[in-house]
Amino acid sequence: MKDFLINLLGRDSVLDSAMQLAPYREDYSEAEPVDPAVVAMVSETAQVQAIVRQAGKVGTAITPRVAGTNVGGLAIASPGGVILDLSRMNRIHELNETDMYAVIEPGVTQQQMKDYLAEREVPLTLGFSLAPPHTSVFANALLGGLTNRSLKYGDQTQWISGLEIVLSDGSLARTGSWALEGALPFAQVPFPALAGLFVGWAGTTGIATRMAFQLWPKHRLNRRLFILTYSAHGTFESVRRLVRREFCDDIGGLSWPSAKMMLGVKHPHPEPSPGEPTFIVYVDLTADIDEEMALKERMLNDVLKGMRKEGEQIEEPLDIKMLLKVNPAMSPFAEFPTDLEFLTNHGGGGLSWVGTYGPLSRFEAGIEAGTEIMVRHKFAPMIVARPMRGGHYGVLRFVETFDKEDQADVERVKLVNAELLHMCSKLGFVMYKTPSWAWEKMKSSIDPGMLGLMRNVKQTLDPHGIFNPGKLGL
Amino acid sequence: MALQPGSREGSTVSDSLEAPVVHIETPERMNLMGLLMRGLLEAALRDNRVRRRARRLRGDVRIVAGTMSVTLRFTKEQILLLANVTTPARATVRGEMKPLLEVVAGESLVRPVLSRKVRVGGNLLLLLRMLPLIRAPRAD
Repeated sequence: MKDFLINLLGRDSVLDSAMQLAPYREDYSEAEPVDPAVVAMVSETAQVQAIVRQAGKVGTAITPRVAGTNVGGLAIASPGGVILDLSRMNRIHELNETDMYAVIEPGVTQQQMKDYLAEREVPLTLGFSLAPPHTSVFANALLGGLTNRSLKYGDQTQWISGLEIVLSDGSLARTGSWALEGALPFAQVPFPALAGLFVGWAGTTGIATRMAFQLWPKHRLNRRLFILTYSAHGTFESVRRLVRREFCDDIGGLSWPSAKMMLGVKHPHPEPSPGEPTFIVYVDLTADIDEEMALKERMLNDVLKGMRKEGEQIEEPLDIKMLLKVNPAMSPFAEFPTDLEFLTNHGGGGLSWVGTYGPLSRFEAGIEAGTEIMVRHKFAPMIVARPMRGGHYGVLRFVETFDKEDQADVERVKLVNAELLHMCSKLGFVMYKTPSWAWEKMKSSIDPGMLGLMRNVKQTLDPHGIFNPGKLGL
Repeated sequence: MALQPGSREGSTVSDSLEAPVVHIETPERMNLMGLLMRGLLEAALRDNRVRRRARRLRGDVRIVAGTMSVTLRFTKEQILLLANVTTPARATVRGEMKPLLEVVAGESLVRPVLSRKVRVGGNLLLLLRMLPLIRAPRAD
């Protein structure tokens, strides 16, 4: 395979020395490091097609990868496999301002897309995930991630209006409206939504090389406000009420350890200090005219006032600009995308999570149970929760930082994650960007009909078993 | 807990020998208000005039923001931040987070005190002397 890749890509685009392969062995998480046999730095779709054809012939596994910041081992190679590094495929092929979509390649990063729109003064935005600026827009969408526009528009899979896929025989297929010659990639419908064969599959059914995705209006005014709350019920009942009023662009709840880490405490004590807020709710408001913004602020205060009348302790909203004046360490939450260095630069280098989607009605139960589990395992309960798609569901995420070099710490993360997953599953939350360990644990509880269908799809789309094997635990 | 060079855990010193050290005994147990104050004090102490003023302050000043309490214990060498101390302080400032942080961010103390959104008690002269230490430096 290596000789084939060198002939195809040139020597400089094929990495095989130990030093070159080292950054590809692992991600942030506790997932077992694996040395790929070789890394192929591709820059053209035709190269991907040729590699897939060859891999099918010789039976070599291919794992697609861009930034390597996954927290579930999804972009770690199979033993003896090839990493397909897609970071050089970073072209923005099209921006349609009127119909509000862009066509991009897998290597396009959050910051690149933001700069591209800003430089052209296009009044559109994409949502940003809580991930570093150099991470891939494309990968987040394909894996079903969310962004700071997911409250209005749902997880990013729902923004994909067209996909170009390299299939197992090396041929190309387009899904969505642009499959019709001359049609723009405005939506997945009304054709059968075949993007579903590749979205949420972690690269196990084909290699996506181009994506059309929807952009959203960017408004002239924006405010980010932080609200300190003192109980899980007060936090999430406020969130549910705010969602129903439909004036917020984003709402998120961060538990107290996140704020402490941002303020320089690398390892907060698992128990909060007396009198400390339970959650910090942040609310994004946007508007085009001052009166509209003022009205939205009034609506926000109205909801909070109602909660206080019911006995909940909830502080008045604090503007992020004021907080930055008080302490610039709050800057990671001032503007997105953000590098969240406090999560990754804590000495040990490890970052893991159980991130789930589930119903807002069960957030308090999940938070109570998750906090108990994390504290028992001596982790500060770092929790991120956000409503999505108008409140029909939301993300509930439990995050741990740990020392990757300390095996006992790694084992502790595995144990706490297994327990958190079990608890979340019992409550009806489903893990997203699902690591293979989680598939294994969930398998016995997943509808056998669906699992069988998934196996059939996988077998049909990947007859040689080359696409990111082992990641779905099928 | 091992500290990294330049770590914000434990004590942090500003760049002059004259500057008192801002210290939190157990940062992992300090409340959010105390952690916010640490950054604020460190930034204020970069100013020579504030440093001189800080070195002359003595005793405990308590800031109670909502249900969080942080005590600033001034000695010649350091400003020690302590959470939830109950012994009497020489001076106190109390209020909800928003009006308190607005004062810290540079707004006048007079209006929130008159409207009782911020309440002060004890040695007011000490509070006035301390005020520049807990004001965010202007971004000149």
